[in-house]
Amino acid sequence: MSESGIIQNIFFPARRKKQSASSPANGKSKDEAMLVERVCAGDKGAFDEFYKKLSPMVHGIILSRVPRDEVDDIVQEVFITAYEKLHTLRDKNAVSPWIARIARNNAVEFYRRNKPTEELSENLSHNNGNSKNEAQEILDAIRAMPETYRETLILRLVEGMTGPEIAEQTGLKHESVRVNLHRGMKMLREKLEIKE
Amino acid sequence: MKEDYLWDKTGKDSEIEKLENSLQAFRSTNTTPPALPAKTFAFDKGFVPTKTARRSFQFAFAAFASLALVIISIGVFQIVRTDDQDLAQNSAEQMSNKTIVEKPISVPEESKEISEPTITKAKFTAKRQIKRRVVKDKKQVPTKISDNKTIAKDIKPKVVKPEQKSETVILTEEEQYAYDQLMTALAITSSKLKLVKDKVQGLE
Repeated sequence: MSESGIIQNIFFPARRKKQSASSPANGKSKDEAMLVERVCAGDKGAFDEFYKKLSPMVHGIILSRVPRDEVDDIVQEVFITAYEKLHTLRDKNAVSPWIARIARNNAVEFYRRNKPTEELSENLSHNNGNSKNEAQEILDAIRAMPETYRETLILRLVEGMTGPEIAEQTGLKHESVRVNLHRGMKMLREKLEIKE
Repeated sequence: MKEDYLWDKTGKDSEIEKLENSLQAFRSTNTTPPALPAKTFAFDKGFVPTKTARRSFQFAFAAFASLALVIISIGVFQIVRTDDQDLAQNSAEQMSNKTIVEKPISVPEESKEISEPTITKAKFTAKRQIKRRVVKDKKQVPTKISDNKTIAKDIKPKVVKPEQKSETVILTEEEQYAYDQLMTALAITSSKLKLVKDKVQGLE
């Protein structure tokens, strides 16, 4: 390692970490920027790709906040809003955090529009099996958690995203996502053990 | 390590896998994107006024209308004003043009002979008519005739006769008396002036 590199490592360790962390993601963000430009140009196929890529994240964010029956409608609204305002996005590389913010705002907007209602338990409509009830219980337990943990846990356990994917798409730091996942899992275990 | 599976799905964690499997039912299944709203370009099919354009047009129209109103009102005011001025000027001219041509009053010869001025009682008749010359103006001032016409429409047009322009003015008793007094005074002063003149000429 050269002298300047050693000095940089000593005085700017954070910068080094950032560079190393962002370097593999740079290619992905460039792809995203390209995709956004294509969508802005009116490419229908690009929008389909855009939707397939980001809809799990949007779905997870909304599912962590809104009753399950309303989720699909709000996801559609989010993408329509994003499509309409995509030309206003300054940093095309930061489209995922931007759309995550739209999803959170729309979830808040949902509660502004509608009075808070109590979601009926799935037991009333579906009595197919215990697995469904169990899944609903787990989801309810996750939803009862603080917002920071529930969003990350739903994205991980429901949508099947990995930690780095969650960090990349939501715009959170890797460390934050890791902490949220561990603390969230710990809380969830405690809750499920208590219930059992 | 258990934690690796939670972070990046490396390794194995049966507990998390079980949770994942049970929660998989809530995963997003809708892969079809929403129907996008059609983008409309207003300028492609000709100008379609937007809200702001409409507002600006309304504002411009209102401004133009108010300006036109102000100009019209100023014009009307000017016309009315000039009419008033003309009317006032005409009436003033009329007043100034009205001159009474007085008859040369014949002073009685006796008074001329009187060395000292004595006030003589002027004999005046009760109803004496004095002719006055009325100067006719080119511009006609609204007279009673027109008024009569308007009134006549309401009442009976045949009965009302237009007033004839008479050059003789009938004076009232008081006016006649005043006129005679004035004439007497003028006669006295003229006789006195004559005496003075004679004296001055005699001295010279």
